[in-house]
Amino acid sequence: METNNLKTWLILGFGGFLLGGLLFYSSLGHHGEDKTVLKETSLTTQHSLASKKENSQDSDATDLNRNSELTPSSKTSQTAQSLTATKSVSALSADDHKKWEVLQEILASQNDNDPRLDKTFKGMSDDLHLILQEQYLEIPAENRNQRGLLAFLIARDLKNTEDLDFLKKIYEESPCLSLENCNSRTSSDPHLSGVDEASMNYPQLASLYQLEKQLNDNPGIFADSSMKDHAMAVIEQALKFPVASVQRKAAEIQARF
Amino acid sequence: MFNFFSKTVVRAGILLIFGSHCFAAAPESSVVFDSNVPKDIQAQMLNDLTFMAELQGSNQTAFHKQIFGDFSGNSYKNFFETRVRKIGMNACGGGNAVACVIPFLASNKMFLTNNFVKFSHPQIARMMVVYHEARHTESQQGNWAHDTCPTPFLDEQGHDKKSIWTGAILEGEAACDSTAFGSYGSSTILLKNVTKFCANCSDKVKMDADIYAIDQLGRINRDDVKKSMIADFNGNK
Ligand SMILES: [Zn+2]
Repeated sequence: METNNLKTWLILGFGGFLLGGLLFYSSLGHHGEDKTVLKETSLTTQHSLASKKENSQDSDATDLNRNSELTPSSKTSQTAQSLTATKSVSALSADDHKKWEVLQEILASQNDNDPRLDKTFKGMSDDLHLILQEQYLEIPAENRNQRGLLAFLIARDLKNTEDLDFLKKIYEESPCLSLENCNSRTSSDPHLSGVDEASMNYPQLASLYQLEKQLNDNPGIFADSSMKDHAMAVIEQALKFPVASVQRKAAEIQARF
Repeated sequence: MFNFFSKTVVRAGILLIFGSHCFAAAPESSVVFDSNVPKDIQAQMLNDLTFMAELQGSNQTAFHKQIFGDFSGNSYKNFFETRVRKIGMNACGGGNAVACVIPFLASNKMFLTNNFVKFSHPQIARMMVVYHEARHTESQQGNWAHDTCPTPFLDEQGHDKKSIWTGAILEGEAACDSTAFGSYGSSTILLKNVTKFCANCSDKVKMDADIYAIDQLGRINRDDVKKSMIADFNGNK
């Protein structure tokens, strides 16, 4: 067995030498594609808080799906930096505005362990919640960790039924088909395909994990029957999300609460 | 067998031709990057390794102690740096891979792909892949080569373990482990300990560790091994 492996390596390694130049050339071609993708990022649609408030729930849901379908294919760490302050951000209180700026820094840094995530973003104002929901829509669908972070912050800080309506819409999205481009499937090596799958469904999973935590740790939030009904509606919607890992988690929560 | 690097071998020729010049990374890390590793990838990797090196834990499970030592940033730094001394670039077989090791090319080298910064994974997920790959450098353990997933390979609900979207089917693939101490097992143990014992992790990192542990634990193909791991997480053996 070991000898066979050694032979295979030698043969393939020699092949690697011969093909190296050709493949190097082809990898240069990919850099070209990346540049085009980055250019498109700036086309991301902006939504204002005012217009969001005017929209009905149905049209919001449509927006969310459309956003997922039409968002340019960008998944770079530069996305957070490329987002510009909308009218609604400039209307925030000074304190909220400072928090919003902190969040932009964290989103751009890719540092999930920034201690400010736990210090600054609990007990947020209603306005800040709305801004986070708005930013969720602005971020390209492929930026799964950033979208998931925003969903996580809202789900951890549930204040009203609007927050739960926002979470419900996350399960009305079309599932992300690949990290490269949420609108098209790519093949995946089985070796670590589970990591890809968890990331593709990260906003959906993060929201469910936080909702479960709220139901468990802060049942008082759901003493109001309307809050409880809306929370259960989120779980019902998550059960319909066509990805097994999301459905499994939703079923687990439904069985518990 | 050795599935984790066999698909990368053709592209590896690029490194033999172009990847000979190296320079030292930031002083706090002993890893050395090849000169062709893009600056943004180096920066992300160093940030992520610093994140791991700064973790502090209140306790650890017995399996964690056996594999990594105490739950501390020093343990994680030491684990990584005693296994990986160089970092280069490679396509790692193409597809969605973010990192790989190719033991026959270089026993203490890890390769990153452009996906390391291009794809949007949570930080602990990126590091889980890096530590999973670091475990594969252990040549004295046969690189912890993966075991074949059973046929059929079913989940708790009796469905085939496969991806709806990517079509990645696990049954019959070398994408499982029969031991708690291989790459899937050690990754699971790392993540579960982060969720349970990390004293300076954000809520998000602890949640993420829990989310990403599910698939890694699901790759253990022996019920008795899986049970021993769950007992380890619950504090009894
Ligand atoms: Zn592996």
